[in-house]
Amino acid sequence: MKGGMREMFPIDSTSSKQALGRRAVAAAIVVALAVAGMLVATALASTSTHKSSTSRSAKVSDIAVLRGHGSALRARKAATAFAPAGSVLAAVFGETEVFALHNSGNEDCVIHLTAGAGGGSICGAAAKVEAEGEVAVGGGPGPVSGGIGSVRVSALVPDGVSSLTFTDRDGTKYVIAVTNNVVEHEDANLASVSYALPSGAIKTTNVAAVVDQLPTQPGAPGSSS
Amino acid sequence: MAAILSRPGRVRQLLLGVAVAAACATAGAVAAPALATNEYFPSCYPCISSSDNAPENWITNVQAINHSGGGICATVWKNNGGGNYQEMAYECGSGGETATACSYSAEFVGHGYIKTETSAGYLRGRQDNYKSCG
Repeated sequence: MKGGMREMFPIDSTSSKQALGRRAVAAAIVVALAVAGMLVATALASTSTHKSSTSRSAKVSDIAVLRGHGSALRARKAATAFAPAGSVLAAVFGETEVFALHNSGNEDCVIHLTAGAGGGSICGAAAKVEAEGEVAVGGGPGPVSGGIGSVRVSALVPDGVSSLTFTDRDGTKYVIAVTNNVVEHEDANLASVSYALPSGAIKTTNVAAVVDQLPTQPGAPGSSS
Repeated sequence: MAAILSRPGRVRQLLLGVAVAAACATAGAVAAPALATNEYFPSCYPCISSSDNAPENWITNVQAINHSGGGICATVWKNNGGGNYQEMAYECGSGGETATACSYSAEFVGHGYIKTETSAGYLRGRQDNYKSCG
C-alpha cells in the first residue's frame, strides 16, 4: 500500500519537471484569461458609464457645455489646478478661466479662476439655472486698509442666450458674446448685467446693489447680526 | 531571490520593515489634516441671521449657503493687524445659491464673512485653507 500511490502516479525527476511545466503553462493561461476578462469588463463598464452619463446629462441639462457639447478647450493657466473635480473648462477670458460644473447635489455651478488673483464660484439648483441661468458677482483683492476690490461678473446661461448686455454706472452700455454658455467680465463701474432668455423674458442682475451692500470691514470674529 | 526565499527570517524582517514603513506613512497621512482648517459657522446654526463672521483662523477660502433660498455673499477677510482687514476675495450669487470665494494665495490669518443679499435667513458658512476652490 505504501508503494501504491507511487505506482499509480509514479514520480521521477523528469515527469515532475514536465508536470511543473504543464502547471506553469496552465497557470499562465489562467492568468492571461483573467487579465483579458478584466480588460473586457473594464471596457464594457466604461462604455456603459459613458452612455448613462451622456443620457443623464441630456436629460438634466439644457446647457450644452454641461452635456459635453462645448468646444474643446485646453487649459492654459496655472489656476486650473484649483478647479473642482468634474468641472468643464468652458472659456478663457484673458487671465481668467471659466468652468461649468453639474455637481452631485444636482446643482449647476459657474467657477472663475484667475491666475495670481482671486476666484470663486456660485451654484444653484440645476432646474432653475437651466431655465434662467445664474450670475455671480465677485472680485478681489481690495485695498490693504479695507474696502472691496475688483468687480467681476461670471455667468452661466441656458442654450439660446447669445450675449449679455453690461451697463455701467454712468449709463454706458456694451454687449459681450456668450462662449460655451458662459461669460466673464471685469468692470469696476458696472451697474447691471442683463440677457434675454429664449422665452423672451429679460433677466437682470443689479451688480451695483450687490457690491454697494458689502461692508468695507467685516464684523468681529464670531459675531452675527 | 532564491537565497532570500530560503531564509524565512529575512523574509520576516523584510515584511516587518514594509509594515513599519506603511504604518509610518498611514500615521503621517492621518496627522497631516490636523493642520487643516475646515470650520463651519455660525456656532448657533440653525439660527436666523443676515450676516455671520467666523472665528479667526488660517484660511484661504470661504463658502456660504443660504438655506432659506435668498441671495448670498461670501467674503475672505485677511487680518492685517491694528483692526484692519483686507478683502482678499468675495463672491455673491442671487437666488438661493451657494457662493464660494477663493483667495488662491498662501493661507493667512483672518476670518470668513457671509451675508444675505436681501433679508435674513438660515445661513451656513464654512472657511478652509484648502488649495482647491469649491
